Amino acid sequence: MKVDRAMTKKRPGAALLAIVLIGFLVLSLVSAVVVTIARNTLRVGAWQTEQIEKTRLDYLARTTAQAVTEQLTADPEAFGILNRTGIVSETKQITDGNFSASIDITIKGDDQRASVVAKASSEKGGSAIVRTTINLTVTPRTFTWSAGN
Amino acid sequence: MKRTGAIFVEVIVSILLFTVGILALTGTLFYGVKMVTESRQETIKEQEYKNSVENEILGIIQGSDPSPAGASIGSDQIIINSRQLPFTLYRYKQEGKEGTEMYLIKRGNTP
Repeated sequence: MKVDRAMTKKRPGAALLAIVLIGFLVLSLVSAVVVTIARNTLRVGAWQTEQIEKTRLDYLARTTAQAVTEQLTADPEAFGILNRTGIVSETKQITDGNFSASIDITIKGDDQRASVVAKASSEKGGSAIVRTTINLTVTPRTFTWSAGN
Repeated sequence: MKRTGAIFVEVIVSILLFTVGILALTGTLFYGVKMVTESRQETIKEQEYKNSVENEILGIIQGSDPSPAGASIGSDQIIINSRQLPFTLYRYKQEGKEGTEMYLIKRGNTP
């Protein structure tokens, strides 16, 4: 680094001050980069946790809908006579360690088709909804899957 | 009052602080490089785990999987219109990684 000799002669310590200031600047820049990387890593971590929670609820809703659909495919009146108002289940609480979710099922239909809506909700506020529609007019009975309302 | 050696102590302290800072930064950089290097394997492992759970769901839906590979954590029932829907809850977990638990329900035998 070029420091004015006359200046350093006049004010001994000026060169050291410049070195210290530049060192401080470089360290500040490096620290800013490190902090940005750390912040982004934390953000990705939070996003991943959220995605895992979503997938977890989706799997739970999917397999719940499957269980109800299996039962209805075998006997369409397994849970009472199908109606358009809907048959609603009691909320089922699933707990294991830190995980806790509730499951709600609604069955609607008539003599042509039945629709099963399985909703899995977590305490953290997330939820997943899976719907199956069973065609009761064909043998063997077929059903289609859809997500959301 | 003369304090000979005061500047020397200051320089030593500043060098010490600087060294600690540099070491911390180097550690962070090494950690970052390690994370990037391991992320490929980690992604593959996560994908394999997710695929295995998806296959289990497929097995349950197709009825081809009489006993899922997950750990059974008990049987219970859902009450729908005063009628019971028995089920067994299965737990899956990626080996060596916390917070990756997945849960699947398999219908049990109706009483």
